[in-house]
Amino acid sequence: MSVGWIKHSIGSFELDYKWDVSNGETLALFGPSGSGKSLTLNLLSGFITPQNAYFELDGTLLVDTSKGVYQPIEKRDIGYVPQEYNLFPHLSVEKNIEYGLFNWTEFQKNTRVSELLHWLRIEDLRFRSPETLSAGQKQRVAFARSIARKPKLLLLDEPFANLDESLRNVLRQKLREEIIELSIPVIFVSHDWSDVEALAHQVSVLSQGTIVDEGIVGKFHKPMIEPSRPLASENRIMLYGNVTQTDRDGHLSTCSVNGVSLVVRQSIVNTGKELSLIVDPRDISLSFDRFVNSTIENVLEGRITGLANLDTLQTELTIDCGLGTDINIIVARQLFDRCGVKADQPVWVLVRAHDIRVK
Amino acid sequence: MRVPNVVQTGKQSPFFIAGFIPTVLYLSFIGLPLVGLVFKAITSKGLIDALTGSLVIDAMLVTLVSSLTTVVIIFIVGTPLAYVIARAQFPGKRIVDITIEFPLVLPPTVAGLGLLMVFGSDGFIGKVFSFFGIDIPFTIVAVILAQTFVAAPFYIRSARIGFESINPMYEHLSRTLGRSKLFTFWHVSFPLALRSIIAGLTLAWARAISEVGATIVFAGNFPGRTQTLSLSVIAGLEISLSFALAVSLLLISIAVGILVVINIIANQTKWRSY
Repeated sequence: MSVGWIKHSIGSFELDYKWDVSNGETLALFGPSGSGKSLTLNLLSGFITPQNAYFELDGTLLVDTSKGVYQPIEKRDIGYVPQEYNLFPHLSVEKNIEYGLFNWTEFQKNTRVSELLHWLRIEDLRFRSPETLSAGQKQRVAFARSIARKPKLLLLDEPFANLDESLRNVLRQKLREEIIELSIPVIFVSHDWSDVEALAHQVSVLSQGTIVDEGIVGKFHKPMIEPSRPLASENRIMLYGNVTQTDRDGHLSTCSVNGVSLVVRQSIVNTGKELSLIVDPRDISLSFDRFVNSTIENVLEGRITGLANLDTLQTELTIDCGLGTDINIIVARQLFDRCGVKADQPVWVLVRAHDIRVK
Repeated sequence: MRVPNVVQTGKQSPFFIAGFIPTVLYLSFIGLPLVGLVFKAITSKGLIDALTGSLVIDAMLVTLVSSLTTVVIIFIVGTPLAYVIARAQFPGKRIVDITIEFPLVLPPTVAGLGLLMVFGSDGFIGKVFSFFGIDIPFTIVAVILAQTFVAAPFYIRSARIGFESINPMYEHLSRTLGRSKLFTFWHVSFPLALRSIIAGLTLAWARAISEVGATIVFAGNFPGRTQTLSLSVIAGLEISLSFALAVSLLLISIAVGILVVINIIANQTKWRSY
């Protein structure tokens, strides 16, 4: 298993990441480009030296910047498959795979290479030069090279980014089987949610260098931070509260904001911890009748304290639901007129747990 | 494929003609002296005698021994240097850069004088050697030092570009596969930069063979000792024109050979840059 954390800044960009992956478990780093995913892998593999980090693998301390511990890359036992695969162009497929097998006899090397080629069904590529291979073939050779030495951790950077759709589906399945067989922790980076669903057990959602969401895939909804839909920072609602209860299995926590309970989709271990919660007003729905028996985790009763017609199409409602902060929500005029809403009328504010961002 | 009409008319634009005339002029300017020299050398009477005479044979030996030693020294010292310059970031790197390339712009005679000031019997390194009874100036060692001084930048520049063009991810991957920095250098960086390294060595060798200015000041022009083929052209002019022509013919053949080698390397896909 591998645990650790990294804090690293480049210019104004700050990466703050922590992980905890067991053997046989796959962790996905998901997020838009520029969120710090590949940087994290480069820091883990030692391609870039982290400013502050703690990194343990299988009980061995690899990096602890506070104690000046920094194991050289060649002593880390980490398999790495970069996005471009980077097969050594001057070596054959066979020589690429056995590159890391020093102190092995010729016979042992031969056996290991044959075993991997057979397992990945690429025996016929053995003596080929990397430049004659297709992207899918290169991916498999790079994978074979990275696991030939039986590493203790495997890192994959966008393993499917260079493959076409049909090949991607085939190789996802294959890679899943291979990872299960390896039974070592695997961390991979992707900007494609379908990769995460196909391969990962755990997922960390990164945005601008920080984890904005994390959880178990399957129990996990597709994260709210989509590359195509950034949070509108000027309108977001900021709330401050404390953790009162955590349900680790369900990855839910309850927070108290000004005495009002809110459920968020994240397990936070230390109860009492102060939190900032961020909600995009576009994720809030309103009901003007009492709202019961739904799958929506947070239903808050409130009161309309202000009404303002922004233009002929939109109306802005100001709602007080006891959070200590008024919530401003823009509603289409047509809907508003249909509901016959008046000021000082009760209203139920509906927010799904996974739409609340925890910071 | 459809070809645009403009190309089919066969008329060339004034712009093309404007470029064509200087090209012809320049090629004539370079080519005619060579053709004239070769023609004159082949038709002159004493060609075979001059080429088989002891002066030429001695000069040939001095040239081969000095230039090949120079190439070996440049390779041993220049390769790690080029790699460090290509990969490492350190304060004062810019100054190191400029210093390395300085011999390219320095007049060779000035370089020779500078070497004489350091390695001459009054120079601060020369003093140490002369204390042990070793004199460097006007020996083959001086020839080698002069050649190294002027030729090294050609190699370092080429090797550095070769190393810089390698994606550092290859070196990183080699290390994730358990290999040391040194092993990675010899088994990944070096083979991937091989084309630039060989091209650089060939260029440096060509420069060493043609070196005159620094050598004549620092090592003199003594037949059988410090007289290289290039220097013997100068000496030859005082003996007979046909001797100078014969040596020049030999040097042109070597230069053509080097150019052919460089072009073969440039087209060698096995060694292309990665």
